[in-house]
Amino acid sequence: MAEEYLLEVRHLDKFFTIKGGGLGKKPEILRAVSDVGFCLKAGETLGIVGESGCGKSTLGNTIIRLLDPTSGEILFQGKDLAKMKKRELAKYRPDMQMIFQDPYSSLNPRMRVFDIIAEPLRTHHILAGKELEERVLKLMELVGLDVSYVSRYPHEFSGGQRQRIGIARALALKPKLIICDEPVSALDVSIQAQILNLLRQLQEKFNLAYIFIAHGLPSVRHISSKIAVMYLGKIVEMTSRDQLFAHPMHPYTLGLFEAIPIPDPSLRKPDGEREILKGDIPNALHPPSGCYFHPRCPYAREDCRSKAPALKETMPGHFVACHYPAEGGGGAGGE
Amino acid sequence: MKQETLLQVEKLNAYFKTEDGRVQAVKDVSFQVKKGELLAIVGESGCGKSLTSLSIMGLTAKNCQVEAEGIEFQGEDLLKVSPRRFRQLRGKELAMIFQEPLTSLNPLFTIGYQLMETIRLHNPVTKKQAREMAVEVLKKVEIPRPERIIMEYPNALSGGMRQRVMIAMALVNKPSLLIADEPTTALDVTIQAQILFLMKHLMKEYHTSIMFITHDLGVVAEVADRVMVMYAGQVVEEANVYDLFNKPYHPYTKGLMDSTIKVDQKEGLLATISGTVPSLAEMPEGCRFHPRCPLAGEECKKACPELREVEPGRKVRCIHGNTGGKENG
Repeated sequence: MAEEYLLEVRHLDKFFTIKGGGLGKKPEILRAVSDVGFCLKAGETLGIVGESGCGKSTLGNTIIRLLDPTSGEILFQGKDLAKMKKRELAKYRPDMQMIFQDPYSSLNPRMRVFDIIAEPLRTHHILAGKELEERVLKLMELVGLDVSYVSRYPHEFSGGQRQRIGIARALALKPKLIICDEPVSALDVSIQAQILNLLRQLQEKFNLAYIFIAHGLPSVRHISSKIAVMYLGKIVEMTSRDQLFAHPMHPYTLGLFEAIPIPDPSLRKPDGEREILKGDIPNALHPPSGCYFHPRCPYAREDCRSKAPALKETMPGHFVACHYPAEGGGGAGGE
Repeated sequence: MKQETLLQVEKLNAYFKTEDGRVQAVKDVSFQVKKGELLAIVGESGCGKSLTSLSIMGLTAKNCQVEAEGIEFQGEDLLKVSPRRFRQLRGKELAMIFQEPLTSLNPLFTIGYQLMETIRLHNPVTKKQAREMAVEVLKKVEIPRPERIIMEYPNALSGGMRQRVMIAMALVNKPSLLIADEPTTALDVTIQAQILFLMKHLMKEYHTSIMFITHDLGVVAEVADRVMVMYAGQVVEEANVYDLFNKPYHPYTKGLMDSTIKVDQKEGLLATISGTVPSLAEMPEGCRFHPRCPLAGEECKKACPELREVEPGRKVRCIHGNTGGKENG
């Protein structure tokens, strides 16, 4: 097949102009997403992890053109979405859907469940009347919602059920790609597992491609086939899930792994033995010089301060943006 | 090894007055916090864990009614002390930090002003001394350049820094009990690790006991000495942290642990607890967990089991007792 990839993103930038606070202040440029690239096949999941302000949500919104990219290419089935006009883009919209973090604010409180799920089908004039009704009920069954709730309003549902409504709405148009922006972070633990299982089952059933954006590494690990780690708008490491967890190479990835609480007290490390990343995430408006991570990096050397590392393929299929990546997954610089 | 008891709560009940009548949000919660220990209270949203802590602090909303046989703190019954005495205790002996540090800090006053207010309210010191104490405690929570930070307003600080300020404010009067209500939930994971480490460290230095409220079992495993699991307003299990994670007895605890995604978990579907937490107005008869419980039988629908001690220091509210957590009952 000529178009092996469903989605190919190349050198994608999204900059925001922030107007200065006072008179005569120059507008500043916020590089929310800078030079991001990756490929995704049908049926695959790319997990995007990073802490707040790393640009992961902006990236998701830019890919489906809720935001207009500053530059770069977004090839969806070989067609560049980045340059499309609104009307042309509308043809591709049904193929790309989104699931949002907050199931409370992403559903219109004045619409009934039926209308929420039917809305995309009506907007794109796909179904009407009896057929529409059947389809909505079928979608509700598919995501595990009781069909007798069809004329209820969102406030009558729990968080997990609302997220199911959001998923049913996203599936209505039989999309090929779904961008899941923190779909489980607002939910209780026992409900998170339910939703993750549902997403997995739906993926197998419909051969969906997911971009799964989250700050929680365990959930990303569970669902992704490939993972990209972002820091201040850039991908700092990207490889297959298993490779990333077996051999993390970027010091930031190592720091993230080290920070995840382990749900087993017998593995608790004595105080002081854990390597906790120091410092805060810098202000994205004024990122540090050179490698953005150097002020927090325990392995930073002189040239890290002056020269920004490019994302290089250090091993086959393993991309790292670091001058001194860890070899074989120990501490950076080799252990 | 007998530890002194710092806080003893007996049969705490909390109700909300609503348009549809009175609903009970916390039911017969009894527990103690010993000197120098970190007690974690775990549960999902709506299980009553936050309300329990607010009841102890006397900070519940007007439409909430708190009853208890006793809330004894260092020999005083907090339900009976005068409002004046309670104010002396709060901020001095009893301190609390919350999930969202930005809403807990007043945006209109500088960090220094707010810290010095806490100090001067409880200590007979001059402004100058209070300022020195403020700088000192900010150094303790590892805030860089504290002399400058005290002149800043809360909006100038990051989330992690604000939570450090809140911790500083809570600890400056060396309280004997710190109640931390989801203190790291709003923070990024690398910052969470910093704050947890800091709290553990300061707990030793200040000889403070901590009541740590969270929904995250990973965090519990990292910090807790003892754990109390709550479900639908009741305590369902209590144990020391190693025993609990080694072998959870209550089916709810086990379900929570199984649905927590392990870092080394990969393929396959996750274990789940079916259904959702019942609403306060529609509590099921009998055991409150039975509609979601894989072990539930006929008896479970009839009467709510008592919280009973099955082993020294281990309590569980389940008729399957200490077999509840085993692979097959």
